[in-house]
Amino acid sequence: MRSVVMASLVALLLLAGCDSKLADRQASAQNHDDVIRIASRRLPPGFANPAAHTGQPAVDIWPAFFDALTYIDANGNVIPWLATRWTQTTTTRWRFELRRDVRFSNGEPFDANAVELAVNEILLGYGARDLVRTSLLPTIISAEVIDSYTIDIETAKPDPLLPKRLSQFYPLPPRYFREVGPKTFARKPIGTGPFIVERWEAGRVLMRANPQSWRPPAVAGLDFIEIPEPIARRQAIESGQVQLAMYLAPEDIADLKEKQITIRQAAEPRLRMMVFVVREGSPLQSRQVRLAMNHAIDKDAIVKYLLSGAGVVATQMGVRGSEGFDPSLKAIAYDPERARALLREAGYPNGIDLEMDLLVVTNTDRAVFEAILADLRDVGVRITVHTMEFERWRAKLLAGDWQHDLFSFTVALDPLLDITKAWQYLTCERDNAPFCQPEVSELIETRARTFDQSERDRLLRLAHEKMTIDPPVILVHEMEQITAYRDLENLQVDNLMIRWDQLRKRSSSSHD
Amino acid sequence: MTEMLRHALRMLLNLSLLLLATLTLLFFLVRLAGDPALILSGESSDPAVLAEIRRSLGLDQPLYRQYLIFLWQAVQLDLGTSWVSGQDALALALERLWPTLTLALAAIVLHLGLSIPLGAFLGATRSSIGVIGKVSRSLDGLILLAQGIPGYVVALMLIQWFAVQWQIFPSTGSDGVASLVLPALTITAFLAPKLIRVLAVNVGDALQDDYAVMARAQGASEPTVVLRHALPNALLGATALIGTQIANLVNGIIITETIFGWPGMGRLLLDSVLLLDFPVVQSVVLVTTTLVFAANQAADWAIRRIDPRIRYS
Repeated sequence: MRSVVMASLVALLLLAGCDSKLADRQASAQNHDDVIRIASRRLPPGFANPAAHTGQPAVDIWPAFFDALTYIDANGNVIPWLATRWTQTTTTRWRFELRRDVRFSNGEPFDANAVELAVNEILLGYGARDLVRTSLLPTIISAEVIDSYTIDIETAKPDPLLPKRLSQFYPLPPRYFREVGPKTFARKPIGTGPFIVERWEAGRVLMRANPQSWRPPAVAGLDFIEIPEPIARRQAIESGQVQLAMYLAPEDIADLKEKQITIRQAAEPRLRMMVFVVREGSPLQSRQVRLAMNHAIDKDAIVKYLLSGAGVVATQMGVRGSEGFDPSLKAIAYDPERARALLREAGYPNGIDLEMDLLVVTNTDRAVFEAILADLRDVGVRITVHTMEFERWRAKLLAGDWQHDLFSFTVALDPLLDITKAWQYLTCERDNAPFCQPEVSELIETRARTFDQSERDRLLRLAHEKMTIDPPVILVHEMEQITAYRDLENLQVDNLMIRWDQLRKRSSSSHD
Repeated sequence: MTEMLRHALRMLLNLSLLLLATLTLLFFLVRLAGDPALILSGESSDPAVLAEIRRSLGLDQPLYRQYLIFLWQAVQLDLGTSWVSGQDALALALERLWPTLTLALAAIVLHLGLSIPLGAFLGATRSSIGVIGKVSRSLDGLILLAQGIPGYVVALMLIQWFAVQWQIFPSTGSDGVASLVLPALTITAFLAPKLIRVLAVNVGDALQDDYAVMARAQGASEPTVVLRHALPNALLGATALIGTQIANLVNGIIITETIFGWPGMGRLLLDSVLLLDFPVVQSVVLVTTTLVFAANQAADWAIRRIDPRIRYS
């Protein structure tokens, strides 16, 4: 036994020795006082393969070293980024003019060839079956270099959202990419952003500043550590091991504030709702029943008490900042008496029994749905719940394969902040649409083909009006992203993306 | 020598059969988990896109053919590339092996270093009276309690005390030996109570045996009787348990790696299962199965070293 213990000790010391060498290497990057350590929920499983991801978790980290052609600001406006301006030359052809003062971090110039290569590789080449192609940019069919800083992009059909879609499309450095190929590029990416990836290890990414960037950073480096558990991220910032912790739970807000840790709540383009599945013979065929269920839920209380204020009551099928969002719209009021009256009018004085497919991921989800079910029960809508895991829920969503009367749906409107995204799952054009409203579907389909902004807004307003009197869903609340930080200042979050170039260590004299 | 060679060959055959059985079972089980094309297609439900993804991954082929291709590639240690990252799947698993091994070894050393003396102490003082008896019974109660606390609760408590309040050890990352302490302690808390209690019973029983009575009659002190006579015999009985515990370490490691952000294979497995990244799941299981097999063989070897009466037969 003694030999077993001795052998284990020797092996451990050897391993620890190697590990401490690794630690030494890491320390070399961290010795600078102004390297920011970040507790990240998840690192992209595809590393920095620009074809593999859209939205989270890529948007948490990639904008530190990649730049896209366009950028969506906190108000949902698409603004110039690597492209300085764009014009539509035909209904399916766009011309983009590019910045002239940008270089990749390896010294290669950024120009139209970098964009052309990205189109040919990420969309039409090695990434043709990957996520960016299949879900973000399915319409692009070619790119043509006009001159060094001008490029034309052709789409298969009119696509008014193209400039927005390009906000997560990253040009490739031609010489380096051709030299290393996509596999090595994903582990050792080169971009035009404010930081340079030094090492991409399992569970950790170390970056150093790219002072030559067109948007140079204010700190020497970033150190992303993957910590999947929210409570462990919270403990990491409490203990001072990290200076910034992303995606914390609402229940942490008060505690962390008490400990002088700054909390930043930013609109997260997520909308929680429950979708009606209206079939022949279902009580949900009645407009009054659906309206009654909307009146039954005290959404203000949910936001105030269960989300600790980290959210706002939903008023429409979009979130603040999404294109076409109408701030004048009001939520359907909490009015249990009106709900009971509507049920009686619909011919259900003793209430109704329904079944619901429910996806629960976090404790907050569970608490919110428990409150919703209690409110509905209170007016006489008794719901039997069938919980399911994400994959099953998602397969049902994509196939429209719902057996019960309602399903929970938290729709993510990023990366495009496209207000009509949720409608995609409700349109009559889908097989097995949960609730087909031909008039609304027609309005949304027409809007998707329309370029004129005022006409787009008018069509959306008409759809919202229809929806308010004949609701296809129960809108609950918009979500907020909770970020905690200490000893830092100038944190700016736009549409989930942190402006890593602007973040800096707090000087002793300044206060956030 | 011939006996050792035969033993080595039998071991190789056993490992091959074990891997074949595990990978076969896994191959069919992961395919019941869902359709990876739905994950890879994002929000697109276009049947043409889904069909193209399935075709490019070989998922449009009959299941028996997919299985035969998989087996043929596995024999050549080619488990394909990750469907999510495009990286070599086995290389991804092996990249995470080192941190997992580091953590596992640290936990084993801590586990044995804590459990053996504590088990011996509790066994030797089971029927003591006075202060030592009270301490022993209190410890026994605490260990019984600890056995019922789930690993993730222990982990969060350790982080709260050692990282947040006292700031002695880091709770995240893998920066050298200090960051090993809390994850290793968590795994120890998951394993130690059972071994301590088994050892305590074994030591208590051994102290009643004739050889212990004889040793005392010859004038040996009580610590000598415990350490030189009772403990080695008690350990013999517990070695099989230690071997099983080392094999079961995988369970504890998955939870621990997730909570402490330790970049090991457990985390990779969890992520890959969620993303239905079959090549990576299969690679991690291949590596883990081999490791568990090696741990069991090491336990067998240790038993033979401790008790020379046991031979390869």
